[in-house]
Amino acid sequence: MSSDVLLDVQDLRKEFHVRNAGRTARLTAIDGIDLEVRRGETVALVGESGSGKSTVARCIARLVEPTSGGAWLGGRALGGLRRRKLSRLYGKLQMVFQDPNSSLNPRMTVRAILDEPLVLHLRMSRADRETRVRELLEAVGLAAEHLDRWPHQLSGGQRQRVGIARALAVDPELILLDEPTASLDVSVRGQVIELLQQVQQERGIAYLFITHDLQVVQRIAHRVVVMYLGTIVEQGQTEQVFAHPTHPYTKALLTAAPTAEYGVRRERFRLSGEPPSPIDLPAGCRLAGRCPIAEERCRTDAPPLTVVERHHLVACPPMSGGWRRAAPAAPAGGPDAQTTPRLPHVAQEPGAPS
Amino acid sequence: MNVRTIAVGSPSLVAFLRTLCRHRFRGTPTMRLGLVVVGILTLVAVVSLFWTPYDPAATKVGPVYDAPSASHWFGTDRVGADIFSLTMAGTRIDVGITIAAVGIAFVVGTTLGALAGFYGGWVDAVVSRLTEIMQAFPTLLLAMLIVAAVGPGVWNVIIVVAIVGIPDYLRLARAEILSKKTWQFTEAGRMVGNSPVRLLRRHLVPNSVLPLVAYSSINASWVTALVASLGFVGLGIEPGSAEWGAMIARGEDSIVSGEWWIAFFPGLAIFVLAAAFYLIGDGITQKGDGR
Repeated sequence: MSSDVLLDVQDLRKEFHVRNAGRTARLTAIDGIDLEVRRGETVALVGESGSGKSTVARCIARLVEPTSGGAWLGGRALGGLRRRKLSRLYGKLQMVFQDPNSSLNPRMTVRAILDEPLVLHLRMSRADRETRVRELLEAVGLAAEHLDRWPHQLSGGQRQRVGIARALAVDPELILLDEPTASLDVSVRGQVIELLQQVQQERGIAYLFITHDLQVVQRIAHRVVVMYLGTIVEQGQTEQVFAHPTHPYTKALLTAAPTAEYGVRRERFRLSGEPPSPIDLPAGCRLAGRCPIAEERCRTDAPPLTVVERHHLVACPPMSGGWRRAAPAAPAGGPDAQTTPRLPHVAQEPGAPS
Repeated sequence: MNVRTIAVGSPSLVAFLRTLCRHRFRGTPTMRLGLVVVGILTLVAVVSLFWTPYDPAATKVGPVYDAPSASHWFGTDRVGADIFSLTMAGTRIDVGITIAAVGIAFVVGTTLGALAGFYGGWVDAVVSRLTEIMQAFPTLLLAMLIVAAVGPGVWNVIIVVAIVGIPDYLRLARAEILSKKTWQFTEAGRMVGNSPVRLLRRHLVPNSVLPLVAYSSINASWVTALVASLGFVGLGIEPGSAEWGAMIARGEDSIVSGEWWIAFFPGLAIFVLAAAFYLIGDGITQKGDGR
């Protein structure tokens, strides 16, 4: 594994059992995805609601248990950790939540909220904590006067800043951002994005940025991973994906977003119909039923991710040179595909606790 | 407005406390009435330990069956005991049992309910089945059965009344915790390193306790009636004590013969106490949570 890979997710799968009309059905939220985040890098995970992007973050943070597969942070397996070790993991991995209104405890002041990780993770002295809390507050653009405020006395943007400060408190290496700007006003959104970029430059923190806001992605992300119904359909560097979207789903996603240029009419790439239910997924490509270029084989065989350009992978054989090139014999494509060797299952990882 | 900003503008401690009361404990007018009444009755209970107009246990402190008058405000009973003194003495029994029983039920029910809601699984299954079994019995009947089995005594009554009250607190706490468990601040709390117990204590319970406080006050009015009912049927408190329900039972026969005051005043006391508790609970519910 190359040393600059911070987060390595392999064959992550999450199924939920839902009761549907009296019988138990299996809902596949994540269908075996691989993902890498390098140190100091921002990877955007985009997709529509229900594509499983939030579940990916929650599985990595172990807020939900993945059904199979695992994640490694700096070479340490995140799966199978008991509580004590999991708590140590949270010293390196933090999360900023979507809704700042519900991610702050309404019965704690800003000071108490920021103090808590310092007490629990770093075991700092009282005086040190006070200094650190003030530093954090300053780092996210809030003033000392906000220390004794309650969450309900802050604006949405200020609350999200507190949420970011809380994530920064323990000096993490990776922050999972679960749609951190989705519930903010547009005017505040830009400020928060700016703050996140500034923090990254100062501290070299890597972000896994989960969002459906493509403008934000273009601004902040180094790489983009596009998810559709629990699978990765396309991934690549931001410029590549935005300049040459290749998968039909990505094309539809990008052309559906409004542009800032007035009067410019882009040719929209349209998909027909609605996404299928994640319960009882169709065989083959999940998009086949809605896709204008679907071939016969798309309906029966799962399309593998194939390299179309250096760093740019697409799971759509009709767009990437046909099924023969994407044959399972070369699962991840050519030499420029993921260089990471397959690791055995979580339990056999040497870093895993015995 | 928080405590600190108030403190800055307040020169003295008295003024500070006054502002504190005005800002933090401002309820509905009826709620304040309830608080005042419970406060007065608690004061009466304390005073009755040291002073009553006549010895409540003594007989023939006045003529028998004397109607309310200046010397005997609530009249006397068939042995010439002073009803006012007895009612005062009863205050500490009824108020004391009610508050103690509600307190125990609150703490035990909330703890068990919080654990059941938080951990789920077999803990929840065991706790929930037990409450369902208890709730299958009518509460008064269950209380009477247990008191009859364990025998009389103030502490027995407190514990029995608390036990029959636990299921409601438990279910309420369980539901509250269950709904708060998926809130993002709970997950954030996990990620900043809280242990499950600390998570419950610092994040979940403080955010779930308000409806429980409101319920406990409404429940207290009901417990007052339950305690009096047990006394009325002669279970629990020693017969002949100054417990309000027992006093009604003793005065019951005299109502038809015209000596209404023997049963009326203890009954009025029960009503006043129960109503006061209810008003407080109602006020808390209406006021809701400011933040």
